Amino acid sequence: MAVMLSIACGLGALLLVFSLLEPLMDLMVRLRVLGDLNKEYVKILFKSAGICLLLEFACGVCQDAGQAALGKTLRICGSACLIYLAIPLMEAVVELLQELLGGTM
Amino acid sequence: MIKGIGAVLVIFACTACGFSVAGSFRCLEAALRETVKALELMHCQMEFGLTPLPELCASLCAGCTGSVGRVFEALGKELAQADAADVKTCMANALHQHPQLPDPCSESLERLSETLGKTDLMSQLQSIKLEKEVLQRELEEIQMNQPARLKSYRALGICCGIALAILLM
Repeated sequence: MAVMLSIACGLGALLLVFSLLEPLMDLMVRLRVLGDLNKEYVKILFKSAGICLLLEFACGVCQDAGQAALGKTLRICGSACLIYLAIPLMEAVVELLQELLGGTM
Repeated sequence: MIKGIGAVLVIFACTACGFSVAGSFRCLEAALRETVKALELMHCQMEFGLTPLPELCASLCAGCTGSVGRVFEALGKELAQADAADVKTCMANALHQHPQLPDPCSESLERLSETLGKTDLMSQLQSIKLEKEVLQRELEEIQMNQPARLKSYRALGICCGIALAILLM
């Protein structure tokens, strides 16, 4: 019974959070249209934010369990994931710089 | 659609991994507890009942559950054979038949078998007491902060699954 109740509470909280995220999504879409940004880049930003939140949660759980070393390792792994995700953004920045400077790749 | 199904499968697999790691720690704890109980029973039976080893194995098999009980059952059968070798060889055979017994327990039983049936009663009782203390220390180490540790393994499984799904989507 307790497990079912906690699952129901969790789902309810999740739905509430999703409804709160709607204005944020609208804002992001407006910003994307305003800045004429590629949809893929916004997707990467959202993915990075998700991984950061997960990482923070996982590190907190590890530190609560007295496994600080595991928490630090997780941070390093998360940073590597974020760098991997940011590769297309870095490439876009390099291309933009080349366009501005008039060079070729 | 296929990406969504894949993401759900990845999350499910990673969660299962986290839960299985937590489960293996629980199994280790249960096996250690059973071995300590078996050693206590053995100590009492040998000290006050002077029970011979094959009969002792039968009562230990009845008194213990899981792989520990099965190891003692196998040991009893090995010892009951007409051409039975020494206790050490019989124990090695019994442990070989039940490899699912965690390493700390099997190592302890293996060490114990070196003295059982070879030395006098006092030495045998001393070695049982020693092995019991070793296993109890191991059990205390495992039990220290265990709920939080198991929770962290489960949470890490779920988090890794979600992170992988985000990365792959």
